[in-house]
Amino acid sequence: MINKEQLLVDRMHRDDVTALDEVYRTYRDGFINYALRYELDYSDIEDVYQDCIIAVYQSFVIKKIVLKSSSLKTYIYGIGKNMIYTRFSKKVHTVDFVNDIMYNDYPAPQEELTLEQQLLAKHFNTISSSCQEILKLFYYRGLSVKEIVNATNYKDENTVKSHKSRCLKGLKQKIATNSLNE
Amino acid sequence: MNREELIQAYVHGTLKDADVADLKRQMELDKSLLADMREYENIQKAIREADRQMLKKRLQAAEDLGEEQSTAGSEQTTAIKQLRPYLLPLAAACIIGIVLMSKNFYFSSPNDSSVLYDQYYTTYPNTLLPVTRSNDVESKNMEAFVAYEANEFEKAAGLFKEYLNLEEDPDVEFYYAMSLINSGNEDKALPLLNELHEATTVYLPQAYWYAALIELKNEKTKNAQALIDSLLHLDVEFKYKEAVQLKKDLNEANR
Repeated sequence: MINKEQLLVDRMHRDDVTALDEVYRTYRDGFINYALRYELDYSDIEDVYQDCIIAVYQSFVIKKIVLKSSSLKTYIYGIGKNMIYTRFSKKVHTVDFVNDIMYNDYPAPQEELTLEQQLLAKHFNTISSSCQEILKLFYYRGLSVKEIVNATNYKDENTVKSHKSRCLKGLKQKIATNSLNE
Repeated sequence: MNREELIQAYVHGTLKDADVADLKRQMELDKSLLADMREYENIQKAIREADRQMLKKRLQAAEDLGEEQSTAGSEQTTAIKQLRPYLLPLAAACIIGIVLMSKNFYFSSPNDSSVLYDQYYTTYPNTLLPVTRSNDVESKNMEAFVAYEANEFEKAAGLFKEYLNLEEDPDVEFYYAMSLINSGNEDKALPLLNELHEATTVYLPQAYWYAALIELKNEKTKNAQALIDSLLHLDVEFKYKEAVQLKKDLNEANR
């Protein structure tokens, strides 16, 4: 992998959202031109490309994926083609598609969320930003309590633990209150 | 590795194969471990979804902005071409003005507090909430940040205040204080920033920095120095070089 790509990957590992913008711009036109061969609507391709880049970005943030044999471009195209096939299998010619790509090599689109997960996602946006931040660092980025102390201005590990615990409790309470009201 | 770290490593796929097998065996025996694992996965998937929606809005906004710019770009080029004869004398006047202004700045007393304030003050950007330029404004908070990014600071201050009446949020309080500073209400912003020094906020260094600048403007240089020291004591990257330089400037001014 070339150096510039490695730098982008490192930034995505750190959840640097400007890296997402850069990756999006870099491969956008090439991917759209490529996908036009499947005779899909331009807006559908644009939509798939956005979802694809987000899936790629989140894989790097959560799973800390390291690209060993493939380039970032190959990885993006792999996931993107997989998404096109999943969403538009009735429109595209499956035989050509399967011959064209080895889509099984790439992660499948994310599974549907359970009701509990949907409620958690909905209420996550309503808790305070410092709570969002700490829960995101721990559950989404997978940083340990010690790493969170080093990456933020929290005084010590106990402060992180107690804040995290309060935030999680608050989130659960919001869901409980919401369930009672609905 | 404690229980929590073990679960975290498993969900993020960083656990070794042998440890994965061992953990699965433990989960069969210990149902509370299985429950903790499921809770972790649930929260992670929920945050992933919330983040996905936010990133989608961000990319859609970038697409919309790109389309607007490409349309506006061609119109702007034509306008510039038409105005070119008038721009030459204007440009010359501007250059002379800038040179004179910079000379005035250079020759004014470098120890003057208000000059130092102007020299160091920059509006802090919105790093908290991404703003999507749609009509679909979901909350007071988002609306406030839209106003903040549009430099409508008085409006932003009002909206932040409304939001903070409903929700306690030190990070948003920082932006409320910033809106007050930018709308000329430094006296109201200062106590808010000082309160943040005791709060849990990611903007703690920023709260020290901007409080120091207000104290500087109020010519309370000792207070400013103490705040700069507190910022440097945090040992963070934010404004480190500027804080060191400002400390030197203030020391020279006190001699």
